[in-house]
Amino acid sequence: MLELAIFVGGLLVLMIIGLPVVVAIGITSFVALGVTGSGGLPVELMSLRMVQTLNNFTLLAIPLFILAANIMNTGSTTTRIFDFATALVGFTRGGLGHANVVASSIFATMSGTAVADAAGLGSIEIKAMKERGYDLGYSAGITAASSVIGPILPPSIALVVYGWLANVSIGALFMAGILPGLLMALLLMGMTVALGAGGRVAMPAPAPFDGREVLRTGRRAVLPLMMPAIIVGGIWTGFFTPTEAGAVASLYAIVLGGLIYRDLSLKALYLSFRRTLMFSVAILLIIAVSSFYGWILVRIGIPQTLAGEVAGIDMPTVFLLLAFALFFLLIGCFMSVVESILIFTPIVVPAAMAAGLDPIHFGIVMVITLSVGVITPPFGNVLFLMVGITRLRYGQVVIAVLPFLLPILATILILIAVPSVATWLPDLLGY
Amino acid sequence: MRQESAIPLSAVDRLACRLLRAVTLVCDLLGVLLLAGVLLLIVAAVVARDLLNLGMPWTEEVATLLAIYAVGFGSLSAWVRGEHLLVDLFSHRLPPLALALQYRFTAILSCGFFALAAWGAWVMSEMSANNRTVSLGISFSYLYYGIFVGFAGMTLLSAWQALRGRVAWQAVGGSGGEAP
Repeated sequence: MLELAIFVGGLLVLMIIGLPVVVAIGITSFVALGVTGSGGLPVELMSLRMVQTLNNFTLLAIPLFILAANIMNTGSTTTRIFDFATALVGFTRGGLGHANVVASSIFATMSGTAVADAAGLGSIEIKAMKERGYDLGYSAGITAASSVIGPILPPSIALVVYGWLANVSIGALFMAGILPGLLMALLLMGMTVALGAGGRVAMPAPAPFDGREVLRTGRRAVLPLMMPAIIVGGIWTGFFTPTEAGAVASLYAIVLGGLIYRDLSLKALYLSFRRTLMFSVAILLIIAVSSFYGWILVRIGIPQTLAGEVAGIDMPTVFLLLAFALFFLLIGCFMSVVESILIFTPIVVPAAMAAGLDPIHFGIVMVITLSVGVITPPFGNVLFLMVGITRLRYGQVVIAVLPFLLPILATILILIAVPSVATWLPDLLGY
Repeated sequence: MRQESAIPLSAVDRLACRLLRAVTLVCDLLGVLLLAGVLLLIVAAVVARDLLNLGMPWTEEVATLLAIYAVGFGSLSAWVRGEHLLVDLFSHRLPPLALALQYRFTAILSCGFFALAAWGAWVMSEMSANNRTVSLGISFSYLYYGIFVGFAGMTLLSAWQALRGRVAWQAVGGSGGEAP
């Protein structure tokens, strides 16, 4: 355990002094290799592990799903989805809040990250809510909270990374994320109902239901709405792998924006590719260097030791999972989802499996709890995005998000207490 | 490692500024082309397999090779743009002198790490010269060259940052790459 403290502690210190995460992980790994090795510093081992990692077709899903989300955020696709969601549920009290959650859920089935959701849909949603007289804090809160659905519903970058590291079927993880994602969406909508009923948040009177508007906006959104069916259906039927689904989704987004809607210029397409390149490179490089970090962890025997210790704990698995969830919630406040998965999966998954936890269920709990970090201080990326979009102060956005943490935490608790929320669908589909 | 956005006064820094602009332009373009290549290859493989009943197993190998080079070139551009992820806990609260010291200190550490990593990639490229990939039979050295390009380039960039401190690289109003 002392090695673990040095290993993780050293890494955290290097990150805190301002080193880029990839450098911090690399230096920690080299130091550990030097200290625990039998003399010399075989620097080529890191490159060996990096190439073994990057020479992996599965990981290509990451840039491809990010690309699909970036292209959709450039054209009118997100607006079409939001307009349809508004027509569908906007007639209720707090209708745009519900539309916000519905649109985020739809977008989550096309993108793979919370930040892509908040950055793309966020400005459209908040502008619409502001114009119709919704409380700005409430608008920021529901927009930020609904973005957490992004990494849970398939496709999910976080689940791709977890599945690859934990050697779990990514298709199974994608299916396992569907019910918890929908449950979270429902509970978030429930919170909107509660806030509206209590009269604590300014919400305009609902407009009457207009079936024609649903049909009109539905027709405009029908092609973007086909994308989730293409992704999930294609993977489930075995028509293509998750990586291929990312490529098909990206091409579909290009065809929609460039040829059908004609609102995606060549320059915008190039910028989408460049944004994708920057974000993907940062993640893939960390993944590659982390594989070296994980290899050293295993070589030192830290996961094996931890697995032995956890297996020896006399505690019901539900409490053990709760303890893991609390740990991930804390970690998520300080580190991004993918970084945390990369650093902790090799350490905790062997321990969780030794204690009898299901790796698919555990993965979904891990990804959801870590994802909450995007809306919690001090480093929640989505909080900063909301500050930029709404011009509210950081503290105001944090307070606005607080009520929505309740339905998110309730989702996590239900998921922990009832594992079949995650495992039922993959079991049913034969994974 | 985010760079400032003002034209520098000193001649050396102006030269560095132009070089950095050229590096980002070239690396962006190469990275985007490689990424587009990955996309097209994978779509072509799906269409060929599912619609034409024609297997193209070599596409996976080529796609991952292109992705490795995209990571190599893209990481250089990302370093100049300051797009590599970091946990910024306190640097915004530091006085200018301490901030400059922290900047150079992290640049020195980064330079050392990148140099070791580049060296390792070069050693592996030589050791793997006779190992061939399964479908295409190309040497594994080519995979390591992609990693080497990125790390060697970042070694030079971070060495420059350690010696000169922050260097402007882009005119005010220029577009940076932001994460989605």
